[in-house]
Amino acid sequence: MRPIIRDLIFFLAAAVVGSSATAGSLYVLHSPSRGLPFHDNFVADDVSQWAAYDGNWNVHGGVMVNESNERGAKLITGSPFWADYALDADIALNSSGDAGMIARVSDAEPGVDAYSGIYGGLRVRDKALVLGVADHGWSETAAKPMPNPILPNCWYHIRMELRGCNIGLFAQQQGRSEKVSLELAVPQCPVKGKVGLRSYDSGGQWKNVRVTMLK
Amino acid sequence: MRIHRIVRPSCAALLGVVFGCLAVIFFSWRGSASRPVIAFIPRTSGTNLTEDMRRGAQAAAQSAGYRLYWNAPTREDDLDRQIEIAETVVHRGARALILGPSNPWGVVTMIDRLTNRKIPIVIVQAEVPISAGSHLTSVTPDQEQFGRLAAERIAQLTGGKGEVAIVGLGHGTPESLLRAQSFMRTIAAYPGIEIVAQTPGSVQIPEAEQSTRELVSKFPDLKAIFALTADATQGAMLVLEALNTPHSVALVGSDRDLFLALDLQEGKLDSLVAADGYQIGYLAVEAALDGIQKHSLPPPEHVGAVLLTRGTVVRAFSH
Repeated sequence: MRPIIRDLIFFLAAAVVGSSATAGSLYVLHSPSRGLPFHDNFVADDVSQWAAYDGNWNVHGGVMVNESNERGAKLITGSPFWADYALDADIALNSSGDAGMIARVSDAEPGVDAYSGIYGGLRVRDKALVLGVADHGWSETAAKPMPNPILPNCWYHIRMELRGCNIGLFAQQQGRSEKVSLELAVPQCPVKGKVGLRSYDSGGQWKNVRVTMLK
Repeated sequence: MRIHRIVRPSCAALLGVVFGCLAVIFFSWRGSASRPVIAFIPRTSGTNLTEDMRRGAQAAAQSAGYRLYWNAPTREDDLDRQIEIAETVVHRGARALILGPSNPWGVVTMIDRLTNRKIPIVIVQAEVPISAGSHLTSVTPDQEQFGRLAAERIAQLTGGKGEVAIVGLGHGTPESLLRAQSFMRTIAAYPGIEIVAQTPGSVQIPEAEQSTRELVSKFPDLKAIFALTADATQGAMLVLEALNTPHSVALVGSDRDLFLALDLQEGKLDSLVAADGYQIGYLAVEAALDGIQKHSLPPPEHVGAVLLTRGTVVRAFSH
């Protein structure tokens, strides 16, 4: 065999091996299940896995607190490749604005609606459970009244389920049986991304943040 | 010869591995071709006015094949953050900047710097103390009209007599000063009306609320309040709601914040003076496009204000 042919065969074989190994590594790194299930109950002071965009975030005894009532403070964690998952947290508001969770977050930066993703949370002014899409701007998809006024420092369990563009959002006040739910298809929704905590015009408190993969 | 027989195939294999890795990384990371960007940085966002501006700007940008970058500080008085956002997006290659200045005097240096680099700048929300030119123009609400419409409404509500107050004056928001001046000029035609107080504003609603509470307790015979900003309107509305005599003091507010239109429909305030945010956003992007394409911006433009009442608020600004 001529040396040039032999070298070419070596080159092509190695290229196939190299590309396969890289593709395999990327597949694992980009897997929507990597890092799931995720749970943070904020027992340790180490919050290095969270990234803050505005706000004044601190951990106090198992609770993540944002003490600032600026518009649109957010705290983000997770994998940018998470796709279909359920996001759970217990949330309490500090004053009269909004607080909730964001899912499928990408392109986050400091600023009011400076991210792409889906927001679900509680809004005091109209006592409603709110769902909407942010893409460096806000589009409210739906709002449903809660059965009782939303009280400051009262805990609510919020769950957001994301399956493709079918989004479910559920809220229940601690100690009460009524559950409010919003289930709808959101056209042109973001399809993958990180998770986060967000408040608007209110401080807030979050605990037991959990992300689980949906089959 | 023997070394050649080992080194050459090894090098070929190594090159092959590197080529294979880079090929996969290149194909998985390549992005789509991006459209040119116009940046729009209002004082803050998430209010009805700013969301209307965003929709108008988005429509104009999209039809011209541009992408709109929209971002704002989380506090409307956060000048440093606004400058940081604006300079960052221009540094990333935005072709034009539309700015709702957090503090019109505070952005002068940045505007000078950017116009020297021939970046077209369109000012919205409040004018800046620099003359317009080929790289600087404005599309702002007609602030004179805000004050005039509010004064005429209050004169009508009070029958031309009684005590009235102005709330929400802010040196950082020069439009509030222009609205107040225009209000006072118009109300001067009604000698029976006395302006008993002019109180400062705040971007914090609880502070605005406290300020109005003190005002109402100091002047029990107050007939009407003109609130100069959305925050001042919300603060005043919360106080009047808590008085349990909702119609004893008439509230004429300014701007459409997230819930003010809803509050107006529910009768929590008498009326709102507001400008069409969609039109402001649309015209601002059109001006920016002129600056990009023709290298010269159009002259400053004012967008008229309208008085919204319970009966007219639903039909207003439906784009």
